[in-house]
Amino acid sequence: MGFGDLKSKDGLSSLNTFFADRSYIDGYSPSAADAVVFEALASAPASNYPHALRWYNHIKSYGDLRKSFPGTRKPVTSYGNSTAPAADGDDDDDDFDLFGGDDDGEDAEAALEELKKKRVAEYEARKAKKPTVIAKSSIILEVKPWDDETDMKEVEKNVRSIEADGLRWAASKLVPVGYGINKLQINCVVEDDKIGTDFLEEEITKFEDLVQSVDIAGFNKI
Amino acid sequence: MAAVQKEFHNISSFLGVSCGKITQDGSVPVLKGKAKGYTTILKHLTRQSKNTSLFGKNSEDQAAIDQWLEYRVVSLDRCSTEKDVHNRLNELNSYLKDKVYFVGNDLSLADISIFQALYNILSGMTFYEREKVLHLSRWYNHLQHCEELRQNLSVLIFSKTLLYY
Repeated sequence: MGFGDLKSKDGLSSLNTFFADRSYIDGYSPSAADAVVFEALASAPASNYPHALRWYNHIKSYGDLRKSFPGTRKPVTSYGNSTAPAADGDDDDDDFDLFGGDDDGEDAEAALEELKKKRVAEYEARKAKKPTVIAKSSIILEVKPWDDETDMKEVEKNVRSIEADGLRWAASKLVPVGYGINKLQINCVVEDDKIGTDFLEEEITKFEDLVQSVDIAGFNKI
Repeated sequence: MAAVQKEFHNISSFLGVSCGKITQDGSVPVLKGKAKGYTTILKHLTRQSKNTSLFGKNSEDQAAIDQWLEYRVVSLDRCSTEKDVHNRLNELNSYLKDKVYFVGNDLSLADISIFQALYNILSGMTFYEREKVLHLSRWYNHLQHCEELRQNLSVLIFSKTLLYY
């Protein structure tokens, strides 16, 4: 977490990338987070950081109102989501603490635990509010018959007869393989949580009189 | 309900006024007995709501907002081909590069009007296409999280794929 040193080039460019698709540090309105990061900047970012500069100018326009932005102020290093180098001093003492007293460690741990719980609760609350997006995938299946005498129309009819919650069949076509044999390419849209590719393969290979094998020719997340 | 009626419905709920019956004369919206034309009705509704900050703080801002309303009607609404739409989007995108709102540092009629116009265009685009107009997407994403403004339009999803950077 953190943007790194905001006075260095790296810090500014991570700030710039962060703001490419955001208007504020947190959420969609100005908050104390903006004020903290704003104050951590020595001056307006140079024009080769256009996103950071746009944000800077916007926050600047609030003038003294900035001091009363809602939210609690946290240290500047806790904002942002770039993979800036972690704060120093975190890992160093771990190795030497093996036999040391645990007293202060426990306190800190308890505080951390509490913070974590709070974060999780906040996250859950936010997640609950968001309309859930159903993850869907479009899958292209290749169904191969035994020989050229297999009635492909029958194959297709059978495949389409498979019904399940979260499964929808779409367009299909016959692709010649050679020697008069065609394979059936059929497209379907599935909801990731409900239907797996294993299920589809299993169900289709159940028509063993007609179907020799099933392959996945394409798999795209929608 | 035609697109323009829906739009006025959304805007008037945002403003907290009732919009009355909007009909259409050709492509020109008409507010019965009161006003004719998109911009006229929009301004009429805004004045009714006494939400005058949407008109801009000073005369420069007011002029700029008027210009964007004109742009909306003359340019954005008259795109006939894909290429037109594409050019308009790029135009808006480069304008918004260094801005959070269209005019000044506050929400104005310009934002509201263009936001409503872009919903139909952006909702038909893929993630990748939306990402190509990143500044515009950022602006849109920012505005759509104001629920009064979005009303019953669905939330569009924007995602920045790090792959292209």
